[in-house]
Amino acid sequence: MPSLLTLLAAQPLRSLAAGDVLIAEGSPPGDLYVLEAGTLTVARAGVGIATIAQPGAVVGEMSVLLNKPHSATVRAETAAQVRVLTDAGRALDADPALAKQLALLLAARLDATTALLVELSTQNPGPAQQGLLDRILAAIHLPPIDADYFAVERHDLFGQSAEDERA
Amino acid sequence: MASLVHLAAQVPTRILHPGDLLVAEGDTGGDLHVLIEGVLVVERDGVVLTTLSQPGTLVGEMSVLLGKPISADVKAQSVSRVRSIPNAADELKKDAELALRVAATVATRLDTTSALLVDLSREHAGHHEQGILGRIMTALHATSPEAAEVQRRDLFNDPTFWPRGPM
Repeated sequence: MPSLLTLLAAQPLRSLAAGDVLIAEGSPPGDLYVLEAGTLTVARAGVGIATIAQPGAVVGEMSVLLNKPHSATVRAETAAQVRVLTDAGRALDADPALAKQLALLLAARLDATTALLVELSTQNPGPAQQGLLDRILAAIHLPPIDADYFAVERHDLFGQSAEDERA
Repeated sequence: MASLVHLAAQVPTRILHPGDLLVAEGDTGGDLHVLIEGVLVVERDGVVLTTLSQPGTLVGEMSVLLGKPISADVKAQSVSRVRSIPNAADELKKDAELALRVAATVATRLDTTSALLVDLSREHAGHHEQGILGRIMTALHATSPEAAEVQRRDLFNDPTFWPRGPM
């Protein structure tokens, strides 16, 4: 499977100075970024959630995939360079390899988190800690609830509604 | 979004009766299942993890994406109908629409979990749990499976991480 950097090697580079905001929380979906060099920090509702320093790391993918505003602010901690995939939703529509690679990355993150939570649960945590772990595990395994989205999918995916099929 | 009508002719419908297994823990079949109607229950070691009733819910997507065995039993709770896409990993490479649906499903779960972690982190500001939450957050936002694994190892090599005894 090609890496995202390979997939996006032809896209333009953008340079950031330390302190520059790459993505502002609440801004609309649009571009997708892949880190070439430097370090980025991610904060959601004022809570720092990640430091990104690995070349090839993707940024902004959640907003594009969920078609909703960015849920976090991404800022350059050092001078940094990113590849920019403009109008990423359209690009993903046209490129299954890219969409699949993104899905794989996200799945790997969920899987690693699940493994960590299960491992923590076996370390004899206190009741309060176990309660936290259980809540987080439940969130990870919650089926998506978006009736409208899936109503469309249900019709689209198979070209007929369940009602049609029954008839 | 583009239509997936072309799948309709190729994808068989299965009827499941209460108690029938859709997938079993350890399966490596590589099928991606879509719930059309009914109620499925997800169990691991006889413990119910969740129930699925939303039409369009995917089953098996983590296994397909990561190439790992199915991690839980999924069986019908009521009479249910599913469509099963065989060799789904190959299908995802060819079909951007399907790849995007799968990516969006995984992204939704990740987003829900991330939002919960931020809430919990604020609730527990200044308490011991914040350290644990921060590290779970790091796993969730790891930029690669390798980074997640390093983070997980660091965690368990840190003797101060898990205080013993009740909180």
